[in-house]
Amino acid sequence: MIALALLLVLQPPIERRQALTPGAGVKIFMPAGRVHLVGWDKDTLAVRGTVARGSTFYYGAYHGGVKVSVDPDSGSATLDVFVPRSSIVSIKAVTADIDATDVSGWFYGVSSRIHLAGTVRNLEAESISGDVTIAVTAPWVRARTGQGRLTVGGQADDVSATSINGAIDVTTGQLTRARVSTVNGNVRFAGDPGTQGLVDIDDYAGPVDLTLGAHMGGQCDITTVFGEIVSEIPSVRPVAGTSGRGQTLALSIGRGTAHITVRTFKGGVRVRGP
Amino acid sequence: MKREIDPPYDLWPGIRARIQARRGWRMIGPVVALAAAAALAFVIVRQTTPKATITQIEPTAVRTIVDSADASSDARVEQELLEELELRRGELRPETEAAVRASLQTIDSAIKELRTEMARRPNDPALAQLLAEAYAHKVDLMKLLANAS
Repeated sequence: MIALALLLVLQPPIERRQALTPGAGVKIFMPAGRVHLVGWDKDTLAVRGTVARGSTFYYGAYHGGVKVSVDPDSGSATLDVFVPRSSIVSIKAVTADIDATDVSGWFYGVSSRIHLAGTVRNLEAESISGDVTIAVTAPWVRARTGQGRLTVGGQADDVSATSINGAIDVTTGQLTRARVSTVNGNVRFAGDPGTQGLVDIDDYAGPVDLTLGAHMGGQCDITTVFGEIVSEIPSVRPVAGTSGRGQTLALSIGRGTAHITVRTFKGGVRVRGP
Repeated sequence: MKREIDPPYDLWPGIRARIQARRGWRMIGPVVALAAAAALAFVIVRQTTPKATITQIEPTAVRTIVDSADASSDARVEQELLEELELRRGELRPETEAAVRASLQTIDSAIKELRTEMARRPNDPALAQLLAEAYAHKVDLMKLLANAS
């Protein structure tokens, strides 16, 4: 019965292959459904999956690049795409969920849930209202959401995580540089800048929960314009801001030149030791 | 009655079993000793590694990463954003348009409050930074919207 229903809804399976030169671009447009990307050691791109009835699958390929798209704008498909690790993928979706492992490139969804993992060279992920979850090892990661939750873990040198209303959760290790910025979102930062990293956290109205990294050596400065600072570290207490409003707190931890700066307007800040 | 007893026909299975049992102990012994040494070393290292000390210090000047908060460019960005929204009214799903408008309202409300406070405390670097970030969020929103078609 289920098989019969699927036959009525789905078109025949798709299978395409293309040998690619290293660094070739792979463009995918997929409005709805699900796309699963895997970076592999072969020099060939392979696309498998099914396209929903009423949707059209387009495929153009040569050794220098591949373009895959599903039309019309409401078209839906379920695709598994295997790409050479050296390829740079550029994927745009509307509601389609994106799941990728060991794939470098740009990932965009309007309300898509985006989940990225593995080891990559660079990564940029954006969603207006969907959640973005990143757990990669990479030199740099850029992630941005509007309303969606943004979670960044793994290990990266340089991280930029921004949102408007979405919560941001950063647990990345081995940070050299991190920028976490949101207008209203809650921020939880438990990343580790080691002894040299620089971290900036800006939150206009959301609360910030900061846990100092276990390997951190350096300084931490927290400033709120109106918000309250709560220290869970017994040796450190916030003091009133210079204008009589808000609070500040500065602490030194271990040895090193790492620096975490937190600024909020009316959001509170809670700081904990490692 | 027989005065002698014949030895069992095959003694080897018994001998082999005894040898293997001895070998087993010889193998397990070093492994157990190694594990015990490793556990001891772990405990010692944990106890001797000092926990990083945390001390209160004088706050330093707030570090800013954006040079200036430009109100005129913000007005331009907002105008472009609204025009983009109007142009794409037919293309965007209603929930996407609603999400973008809600985001824009959030940013505008933040900018308004920040500007008001900046008028009272024009030299506050934290405020300047937060205002610049709010402008940057609006530019980011425009980029997100530009990609939404």
